[in-house]
Amino acid sequence: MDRKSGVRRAWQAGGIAVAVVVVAAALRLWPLHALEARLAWLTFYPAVAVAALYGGLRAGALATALSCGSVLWVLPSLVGRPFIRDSADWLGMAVFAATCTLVSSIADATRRANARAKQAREEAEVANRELEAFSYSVAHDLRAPLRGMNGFAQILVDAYGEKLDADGQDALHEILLNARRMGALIDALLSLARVTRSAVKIESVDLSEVVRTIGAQLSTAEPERTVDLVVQDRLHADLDPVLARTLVENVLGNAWKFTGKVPAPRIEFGTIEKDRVRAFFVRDNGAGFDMAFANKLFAPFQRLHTVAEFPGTGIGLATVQRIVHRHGGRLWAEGAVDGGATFYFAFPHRNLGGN
Amino acid sequence: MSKVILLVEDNASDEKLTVLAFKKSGIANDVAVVRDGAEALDYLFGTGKHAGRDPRALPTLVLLDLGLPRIDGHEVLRRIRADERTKVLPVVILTSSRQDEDVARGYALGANAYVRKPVDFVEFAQAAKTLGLFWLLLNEQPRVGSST
Repeated sequence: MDRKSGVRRAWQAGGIAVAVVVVAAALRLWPLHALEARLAWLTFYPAVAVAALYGGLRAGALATALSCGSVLWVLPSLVGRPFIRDSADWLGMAVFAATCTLVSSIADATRRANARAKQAREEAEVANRELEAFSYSVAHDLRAPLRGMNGFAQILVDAYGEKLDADGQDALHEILLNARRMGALIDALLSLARVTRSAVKIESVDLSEVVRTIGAQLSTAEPERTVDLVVQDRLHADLDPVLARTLVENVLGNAWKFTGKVPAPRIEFGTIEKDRVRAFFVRDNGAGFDMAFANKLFAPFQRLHTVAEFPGTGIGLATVQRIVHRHGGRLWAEGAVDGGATFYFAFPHRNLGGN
Repeated sequence: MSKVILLVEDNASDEKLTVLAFKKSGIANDVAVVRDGAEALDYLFGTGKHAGRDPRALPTLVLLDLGLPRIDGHEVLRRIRADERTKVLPVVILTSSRQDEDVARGYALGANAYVRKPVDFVEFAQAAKTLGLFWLLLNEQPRVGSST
């Protein structure tokens, strides 16, 4: 099947080469007969270019050879006058052949690059569909047995908890805790997959407003905590509004969590000029991190603290990184152990619409 | 006439948990369980395996999973809505998936609600209780199947 279509394409390319050279030669006879033997290659240059564009390197080479044959023998025999008479004409022919080979190679390389890009696009689409099927099965099929484990362990606690000693009850609670934790991991993984798949629709987003909204939600969820949230006003960025929200949720949620053990928690949101780029930042005075592990911060499932110290799935900052990358931006972090952390994110210039 | 809940669920553990959750929250209704989409339709329309059943005695509520063997949940819902007898039957999708596409498609096909089964049993029991209270006690049902 593939071979057949290859053969057909080869014939087509040959046909195009012959046809354009015939047209080029015919134009010399009429209406360009007044040129006589001057500018012998005039019509053959475009002919070879057309053949190479449509048929690739082989068609270009064939058209070049046919053009040379036409100028050397066919046209002279038709008009009764030689086209190639002195060394300058031979030089012209050499230049013609060299230029045409070059043009054909370039046209061919372009065609190949296009074909490769098309193939890559198709492969990416297939991979995307597979990822979709995968996350669907994660969502649906992995959660069901987990619910079974958690559910029946809970039923044991409810109905038979009194018959167990403290160790037995403790073991049951560990099962419940782990099932819940795995549920949270699956959800986090799914939201990471969603960030990768969803289409990006750019709008001007007031990030300051988003930060305030999420900050209010965080403090509603933990009313016993008082966090000093300092937000620079009216900072706009051209982002996908849904992804922008997820980004802020994760960066701010992170800062919120890691300031949980300091006496006067403070989180700042603003912009600064860094390496001549305007970057947004979220700075906290929380637990911070060791810069030696900075490269691990954004990798999925990598955590720099134990779950007992600070709960979490290790997916949040990976999600943030993916969102920033999907907008063509850059993300980095600075921190010190017990010295707080600062997360910076910058977008390409067109993404920044300050107000 | 007792109010029956039809639970369309292929996973035996989930079935037990759902029934237990209803019991725990004091919902004493009979729960009829069918194991796949084809059987759900047989139950509702009194065909096949449920040929002896009177199709006019419809359940009060259908709890429909999406990933079902033979006929999937979306298709079951489509056929329920396409039939004059079950057009307005309350159907709640109760599933593991929270994929935006599943939710959107469920509502587009005429689901009355979409509830995601939580992993945590305490939350699951709470969800079952809320569902039961709302659909069996609070909500006014259309008189399905018996008007003609």
